Amino acid sequence: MTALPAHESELLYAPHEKVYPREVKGRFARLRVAAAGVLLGVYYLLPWWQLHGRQAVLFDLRARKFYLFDLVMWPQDFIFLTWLLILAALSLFFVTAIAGRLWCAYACPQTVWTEAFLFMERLTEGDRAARMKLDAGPWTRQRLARKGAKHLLWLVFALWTGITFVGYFSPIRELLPDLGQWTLGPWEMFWICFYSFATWGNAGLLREQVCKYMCPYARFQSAMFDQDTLIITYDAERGEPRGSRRKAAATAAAPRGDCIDCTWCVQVCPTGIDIREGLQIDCIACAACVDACDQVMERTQRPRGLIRYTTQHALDHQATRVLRPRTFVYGGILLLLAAGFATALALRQPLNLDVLRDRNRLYRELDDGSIENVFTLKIANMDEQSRSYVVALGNRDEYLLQPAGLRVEVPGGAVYSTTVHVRRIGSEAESPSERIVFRLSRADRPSLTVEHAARFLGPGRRE
Amino acid sequence: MAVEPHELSRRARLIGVTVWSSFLAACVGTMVCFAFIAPADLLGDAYEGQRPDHLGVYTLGFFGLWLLAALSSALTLYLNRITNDRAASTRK
Repeated sequence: MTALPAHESELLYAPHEKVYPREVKGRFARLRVAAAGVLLGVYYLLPWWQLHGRQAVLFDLRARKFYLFDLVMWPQDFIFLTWLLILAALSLFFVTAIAGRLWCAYACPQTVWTEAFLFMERLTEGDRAARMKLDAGPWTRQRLARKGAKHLLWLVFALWTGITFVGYFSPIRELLPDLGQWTLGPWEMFWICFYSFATWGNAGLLREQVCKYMCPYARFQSAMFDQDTLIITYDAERGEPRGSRRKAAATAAAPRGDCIDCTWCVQVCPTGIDIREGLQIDCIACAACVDACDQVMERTQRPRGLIRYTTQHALDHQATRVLRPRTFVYGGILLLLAAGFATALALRQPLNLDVLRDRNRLYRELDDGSIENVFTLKIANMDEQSRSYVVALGNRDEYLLQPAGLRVEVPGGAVYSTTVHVRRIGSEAESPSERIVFRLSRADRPSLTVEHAARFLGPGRRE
Repeated sequence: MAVEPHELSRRARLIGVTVWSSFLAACVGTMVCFAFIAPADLLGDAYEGQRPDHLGVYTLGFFGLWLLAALSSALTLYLNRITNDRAASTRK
């Protein structure tokens, strides 16, 4: 264990300097804006999509049902949701192993919303130089107006984000009128404010600090990396020794590399690093430096790609292998889990039976000497249509269900509760507790059957 | 450029780490917990006649778990600091 004295460990945290990312244009910037547009569009519009007369994607907390397009998930289906999350995590690992931090660059909500907030900042405060000047200058009326406009824009956007977020949990088409008439529940109101505040804080104020200090993925993504993973890197072989062309010509010094040390790559970096210092954990692989450097290379009439997407093997003049053990292992596990998920989903029975024993009385002896137990059946119809079901006792002939041949009609998405009596006829039971099985089948499709075991209690054999 | 005071910045980051990691734990915890417990079961008989506010139960559950996880994270950081300080002083 190497423990640092307090004053040294403090140095692990560099003092925070505000980063003013310069706007950059180019193919990767276009791709990033497109990705952000699509993802934000999906986020803000999805709750408005109606399907089968309800919200297509709704995590209905009140009814405890999750609607995912045609799929309706009940609390019993919790395993599917967990499975889905594991699948998502594994996909992330797989993509990371092959293509590096694509997630961070194009898809992470932190990146996407930061980009939206930066756009509004540029709109109100101007470009990088203007923003730095504004912050360095005194509090003039203009500064106040620009800052005020920025925060107003941010606030409206954050509020809309919060409302949309709550719209995923309670129907957004009812939420908005309620909000307009101030009849919204206190908790909904709370979550709108909380989520808006979190958006404003994360995308407006914290920004790259979330990636640098808070994101766990940023810390462990390097475990997925190898020599064949796509990274963004500066070609030091080509670039060094760096320096201004003009100066080099004037002093007739040693031949210069392609890097003219214009520091554009540093100015555009949203996390404020210098990519020329090598691969760093702070780099979110957004490729802003690639675009910036490509522009400079074009102007100085040098080939593009001094900073580029490449692999460590390619940098070392070796062949890059996309297909390697890591690809197969991650890909194999991912495929297996996906296949398992699809199968389990296809085999999922839209029907559930719970059996509860009557708590008041263990058993009752009837006049004819037979023993009776009382149970409550809870039948959940997980289909969206109304269905008819038949209840029967499964395994043993000496038990009788009353009412016999019980048939119940359960509306779509509802849970139906009914009380049944089970009677043991004939000889006495061997043991005071015997296993019986309730069997529930859909009337029009007997193959759709679920079973639930219960204990039948009695006095047992009398000596 | 605006440079924030050193000490404050470090403390702010430690708080950030605590809050954030416990937030993630609370998210998972809330999901698992309420997959098995329905708010109606919790409120059940005590609120007879009143409609229980489900969202309130979820919210309090979430923040309760968050607080618990944050306490655990903070305690871990704190104990770790003491351990480090002791290791440093014995090395000297």
